[in-house]
Amino acid sequence: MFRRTHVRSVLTTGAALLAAAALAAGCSSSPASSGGSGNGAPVTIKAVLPPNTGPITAADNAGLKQLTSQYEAAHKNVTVQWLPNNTTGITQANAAMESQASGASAPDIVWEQYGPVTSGALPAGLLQNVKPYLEKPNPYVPGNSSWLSLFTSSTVPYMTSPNGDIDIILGSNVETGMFYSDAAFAKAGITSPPQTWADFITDLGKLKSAGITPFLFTTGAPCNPSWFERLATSSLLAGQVSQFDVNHAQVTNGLDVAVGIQKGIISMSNPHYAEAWKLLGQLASYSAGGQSSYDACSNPNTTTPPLSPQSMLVQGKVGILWGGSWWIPQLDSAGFTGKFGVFPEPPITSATSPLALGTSTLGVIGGPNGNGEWSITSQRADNTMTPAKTATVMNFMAWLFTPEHLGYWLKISGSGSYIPTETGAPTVNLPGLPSLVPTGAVPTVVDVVLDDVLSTAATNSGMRLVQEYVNGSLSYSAFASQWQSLLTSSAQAWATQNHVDLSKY
Amino acid sequence: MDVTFMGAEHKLGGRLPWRRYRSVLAVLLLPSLLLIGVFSYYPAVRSLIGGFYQWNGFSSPTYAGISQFRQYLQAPTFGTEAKNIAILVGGSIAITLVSQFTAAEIVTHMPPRAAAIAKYVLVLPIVLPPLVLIDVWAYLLQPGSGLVDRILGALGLSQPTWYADPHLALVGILLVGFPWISNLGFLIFLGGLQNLPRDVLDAGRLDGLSAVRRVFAIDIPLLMPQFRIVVILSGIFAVQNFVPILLLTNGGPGTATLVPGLDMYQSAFANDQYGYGMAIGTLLFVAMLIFTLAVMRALRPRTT
Repeated sequence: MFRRTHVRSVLTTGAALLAAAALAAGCSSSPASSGGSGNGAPVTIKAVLPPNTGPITAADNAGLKQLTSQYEAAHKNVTVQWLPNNTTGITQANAAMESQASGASAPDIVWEQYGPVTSGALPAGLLQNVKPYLEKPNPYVPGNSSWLSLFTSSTVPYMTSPNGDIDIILGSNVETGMFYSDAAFAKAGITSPPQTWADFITDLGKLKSAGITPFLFTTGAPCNPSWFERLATSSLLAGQVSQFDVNHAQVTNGLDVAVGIQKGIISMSNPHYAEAWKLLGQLASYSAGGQSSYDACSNPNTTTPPLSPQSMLVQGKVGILWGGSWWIPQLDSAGFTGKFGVFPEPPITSATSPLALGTSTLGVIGGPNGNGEWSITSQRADNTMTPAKTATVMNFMAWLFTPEHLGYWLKISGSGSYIPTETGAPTVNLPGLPSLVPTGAVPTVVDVVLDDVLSTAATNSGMRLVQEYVNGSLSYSAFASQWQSLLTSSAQAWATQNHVDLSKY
Repeated sequence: MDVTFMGAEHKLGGRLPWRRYRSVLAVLLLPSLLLIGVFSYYPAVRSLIGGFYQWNGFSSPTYAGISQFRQYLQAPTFGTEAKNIAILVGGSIAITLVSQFTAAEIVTHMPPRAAAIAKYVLVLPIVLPPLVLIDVWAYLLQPGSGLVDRILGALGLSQPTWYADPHLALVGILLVGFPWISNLGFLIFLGGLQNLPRDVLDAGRLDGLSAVRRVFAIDIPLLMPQFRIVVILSGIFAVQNFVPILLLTNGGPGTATLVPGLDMYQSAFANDQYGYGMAIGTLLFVAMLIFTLAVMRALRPRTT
């Protein structure tokens, strides 16, 4: 139950904030109903900040801080305590959160990602279904039919679990792409970015011939490996996905993958699936050594492994790196402005493999995994989360997720590299970013092992195998054999944990 | 000291009746016993029991018998983990004994003022937080841009990728803390050497023993109790201390630096397999108990 208020439409961010402040002031003078805002018993909301953004006082979080202050000023009984998020990835964050949840002391608002939330990898009952709140209007946006209607149509499927629940709210998209050094391309005589995977491999060869280390495939954490898995399997299994896509969602979840494995489609004996890993072997042959000491998603200032590979591109030690849209402002701030370009992952066509379908893979890897991904913990995981407090928490989330507010704090947080998931949210025209953003339909994304789809244990074991395969310690046949064992055992474990009889499918 | 101690006891006993004195002692001891019980013994006992249950840390545990113990012993990584930890334990003990005993010998036989300065210089780095030490080595062995690789590059030698090279990663882990002197073992050896019986040393001198011969004929045999404690502590520390591996390689590349301690930690705290992690912990405890008993027996003082 949210209290409805009205805000004047504003054109600029500054005006939007002034109006928001006025609105917030209005809220405090007119108490809300069971939405939990306004007057009432004191409520302290514990919320986890986006990862690696420092404390709430850090520059990255200035927008969130300002919006929070305005909310607190308008809701005198509510205090929001933002907790820094120094985890290196969602796996570590979830491990910490689950430890707290086992003692019923998890934070109220936790950082999550749709992969583990919608796949069934997390223990059931940890997070709350917030769909009932999203189906009602956002009280801070005039005239909306439902909060859910503010999200772009492509975002909602990512938030929705197979049972129809919504256990996560997603704030922004990120995209991935191949970042190249202009100087390296010029030296190798490459005049334009490759259009197909075959062109890409040819260009890697040209870089190598020019005496430049062509590429670095980072395996210190799942970023590059999970991106490759998505890209290759989504492309090569595009013709077979309907046979195991039980969920019919944008991204395959644990059930889809377990069914695919059960049916032998996601199997190393299926030439289409096996081809993906043969292509990784081909790509790895152009990679610099030391792969497991680097991670494409590491903070550029990290001093312990896995390190960010960005300095290798800046220092001319490597020609191409596989990174994310958040790299654009980071490379700019490293003084590399105007010295690099970025192109989207090229499609895998028949020029690379007779099994390839040439499916466009633009947008397959990226998606709503930018800042602003939050879930609300259940009362079992967090004994303070009474229904009344949940209403207050969701009221605060509604405040952060008006399109104007979302665009405002994301612009500050990601220096323009995060693309808001709500229609009408202000965006930044970051040079290079438009080429990575899909303009048409994105094919079904096939996530299998390396994105916590079946389990974190499977992801960790899979990462070890990929590290050995990429650095040459494992031959293809040895990798294929061990990977198949991992697929089979992980699918069985998933089915057991989720009480699913796979033989029904 | 004994007289003073006895005097103090007598004085206290004199003021309080004996039974009440014992009650006071028990009350004073209780907080320590409670804290040790809650924070040391309870988790250990809980872990022994927990290995028999499947538990994801959130849902209700289910009884699993010995299946998780068997699962670990049959895991594809078990052999690699056993080999890695054997190398680390053996390597740690060897470098500890050689470096710390040698340093203690040198300091013992230095002129007194120089020995005092050397003692402080060698012991002071103990205060360095382990994480800082790990960070320093992460920088030193950074592939290509670390200090070691830069020096090798300047000399025209190949630059290894250290923590990303399956053949060098364990070596890189062992290198953390080089030259491995600033440690408790150095102080134990130093204390032992400084308290060797003078008459035995004088007899050796009269017999014309060289310094090297004295080390092997007198120092080492007489320091066997110290060697025993240092070997046991080094072994246990090598098994427990998976933090450098966690931070520098995360057990990789592949399984090149995976050890049982890290597997236990990741199973519980990353994979939500708390029961399985506790089963690994219990097996580790048994292994360390056997190791300790074996060392105690092998290095027991022998009298002829």
